[in-house]
Amino acid sequence: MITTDLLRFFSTDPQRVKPIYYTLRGKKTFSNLLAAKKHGYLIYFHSAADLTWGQFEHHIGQLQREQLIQPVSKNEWCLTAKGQAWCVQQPPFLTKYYNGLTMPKLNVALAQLHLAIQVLSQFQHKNKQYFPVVTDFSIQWQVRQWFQRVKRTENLSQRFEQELTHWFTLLPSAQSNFVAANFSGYQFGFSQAQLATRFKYSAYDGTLVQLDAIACLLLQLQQVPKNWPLCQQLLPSEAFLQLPLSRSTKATYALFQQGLTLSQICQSRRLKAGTVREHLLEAALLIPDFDVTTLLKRNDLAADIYFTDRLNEILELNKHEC
Amino acid sequence: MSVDLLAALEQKFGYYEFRPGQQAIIENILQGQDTLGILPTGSGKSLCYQLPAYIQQGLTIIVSPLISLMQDQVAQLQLQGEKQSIALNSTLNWSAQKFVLTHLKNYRFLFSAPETLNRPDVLAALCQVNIQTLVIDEAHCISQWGVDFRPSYLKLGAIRQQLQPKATLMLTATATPKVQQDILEKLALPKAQKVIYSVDRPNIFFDVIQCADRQAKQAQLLTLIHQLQLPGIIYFSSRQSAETMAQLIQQQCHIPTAFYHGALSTKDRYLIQQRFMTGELKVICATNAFGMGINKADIRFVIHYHAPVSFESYLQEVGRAGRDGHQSIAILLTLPDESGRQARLLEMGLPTPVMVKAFFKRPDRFKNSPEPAFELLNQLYRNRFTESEVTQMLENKRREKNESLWAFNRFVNLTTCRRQHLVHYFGEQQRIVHDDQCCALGFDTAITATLEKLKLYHLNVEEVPSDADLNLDTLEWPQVLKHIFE
Ligand SMILES: [Zn+2]
Repeated sequence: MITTDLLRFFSTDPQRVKPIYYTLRGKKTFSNLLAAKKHGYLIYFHSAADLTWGQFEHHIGQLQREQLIQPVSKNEWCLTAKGQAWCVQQPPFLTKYYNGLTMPKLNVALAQLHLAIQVLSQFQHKNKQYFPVVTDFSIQWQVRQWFQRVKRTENLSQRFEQELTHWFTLLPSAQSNFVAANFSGYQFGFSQAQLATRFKYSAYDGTLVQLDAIACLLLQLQQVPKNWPLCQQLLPSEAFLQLPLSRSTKATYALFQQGLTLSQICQSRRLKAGTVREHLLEAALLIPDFDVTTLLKRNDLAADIYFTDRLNEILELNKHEC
Repeated sequence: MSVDLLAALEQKFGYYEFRPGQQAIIENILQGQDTLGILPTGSGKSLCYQLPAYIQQGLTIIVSPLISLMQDQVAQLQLQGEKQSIALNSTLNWSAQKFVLTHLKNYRFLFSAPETLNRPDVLAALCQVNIQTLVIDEAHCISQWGVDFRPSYLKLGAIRQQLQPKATLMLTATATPKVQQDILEKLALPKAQKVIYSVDRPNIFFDVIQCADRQAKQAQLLTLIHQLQLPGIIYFSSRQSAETMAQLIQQQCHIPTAFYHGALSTKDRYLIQQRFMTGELKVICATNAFGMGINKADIRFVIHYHAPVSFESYLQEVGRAGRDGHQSIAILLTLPDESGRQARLLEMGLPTPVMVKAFFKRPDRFKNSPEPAFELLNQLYRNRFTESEVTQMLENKRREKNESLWAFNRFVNLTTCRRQHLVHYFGEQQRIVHDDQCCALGFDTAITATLEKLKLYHLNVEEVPSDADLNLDTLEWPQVLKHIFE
């Protein structure tokens, strides 16, 4: 990550920086998620898992020294005029399909795809001597299983090429070009250094461009699986797409969907009221079209100001989004 | 010499002759004779168990101390087109491990660590199949006398008795007589045969050039690259200088060159190795991270732009040249006031005192760290080594490295036969008969003449980049797909 990669998280609205850091790292606390949703960067959840607080602080300091952001109060920051101008002149890559919350393993999907492409390319050119681009054994394992299943398909390479072509036509061509240039195959492959000279993306942007593309593919696989017989088997969407909720929250949410009141949920799950409230707040925030009004109606637990305040906040947020 | 072995060697590996030591070891294994092989790095150790695996039926198990080492070896086999190889370790998930164990007959090579082999389910599964050879790589790790001691290796004696392989092959690059004896005792194989091969590589000419200053050194390197028979490797002490010089060579000599160091992504590392292997790249500017998995036979030169971290690593790096047996050259560029750097623990893949402290404070935190330094600490910890014992071991190791560096500095400034000094340092009695194909006595002041004498002089004219038809600047995705799949 380079310093200016962080500019996308700021706007003219004052905001705290800690939630930005925790979102990038993938820390799921309600206040972080709420701030991230409020300021529109929730989808970047877990997109820079290796970022350390020291590095992050350094970047923030740098942005301030460059007068791209400025403090408004003790903890809050916003873009300066210079910062706004920068964002207009050098807009960051904006993702369209990517969502770090519901797609936690996109990098695995990308690695599997890269390896599958290499394997098929070498197979097509009858070359058996090559270094695999991915050395992670479990990924090699998945791809090998896939290849065993599909290798007798007639015109295998041609069909796979058709599926990839179909995918690339769904994306802006600049994005497709970058994604394709990152492939390796028979006598083909560019190093990161070569790619960096041609495509001016920062490493973080470059990753997002690729993850966004693979997210697009995964959503297609889920929606119209029959159009993608080969990719479908390689990247089963259920392995890569999930509800953005932790397992326990999911169980609570399922009971709520069945029509139980909150105290019934507490009884059935043997959970404290506070825990159930926490689960439902998370669900209300993260599930699209969550019915907050019904939740308020079915709340038969002792009054809790924090709970109702947060729910109203979410209601307010959702109104803005519509 | 058995014709069959040579034919198999050529057919499977494309070599026409064995390197010293290989054939004796292979014949031993084929006869079911337990063998301790002491072969220097770069002398084709792995071929000693690979060739028999193709001649005889059954599974070959290779014990390796580090996950990263296993990964490299499997990648190397995959490069050779060998798909029936697998590393059984914690990077495979549970169901994949189970699959491997129930389909052991599908594999020719199985890499594993002693801890994994010692698991009851693994042992039980392995006892059901025909095990041809048990290979113990880095066998010196079993000896408490050695600085590389890996406590988990002590279990191998019992494991071997359960597995009942037809032959056991213990391989190591360096082992003093004391360590050799210890290896055979710990594995309860007193009758094993020893095959020891000299560290000397007669087809490599040892050369040292002293440059007036850093600028002169850079100019000297560029001149050398213009004149040297390719391909070759240049070693640097820092990533930065490897990158800078790679760019300079590419620009000024128009020779396809890449830099290679530990900060590259795995994908880039493999891409560069691949292109170097196929000859698309002629020169690699590397830090000492480069080497693993490189089995290129026709490397004509190894240049050290900076002094190596130890005499052992010098020998290892130089040993990548001339594996095909043809004349090659090792050139060290030095400055009047330059001496080797103190060995740093981390560069050797060993934990630093800070890491040791942090580890022993909260060992559970580092349980699954893939970092080799922590992998080692985990092993030591599981075998009940205390913090102070570990600290002492590491300190010994560092001292030993610095002593070796001191010996290397003497090697640099030598005015007598360099090869003689080298074999002496590595504990051999051999007397070298120096001649003008052997080494440069003192600093070489007429390198061009040396190269001509060795028939390594070759004026490199501009090379056309091999992927001229694929210009990245104008590359569009349909072209990429066409190139990859058609
Ligand atoms: Zn000599």
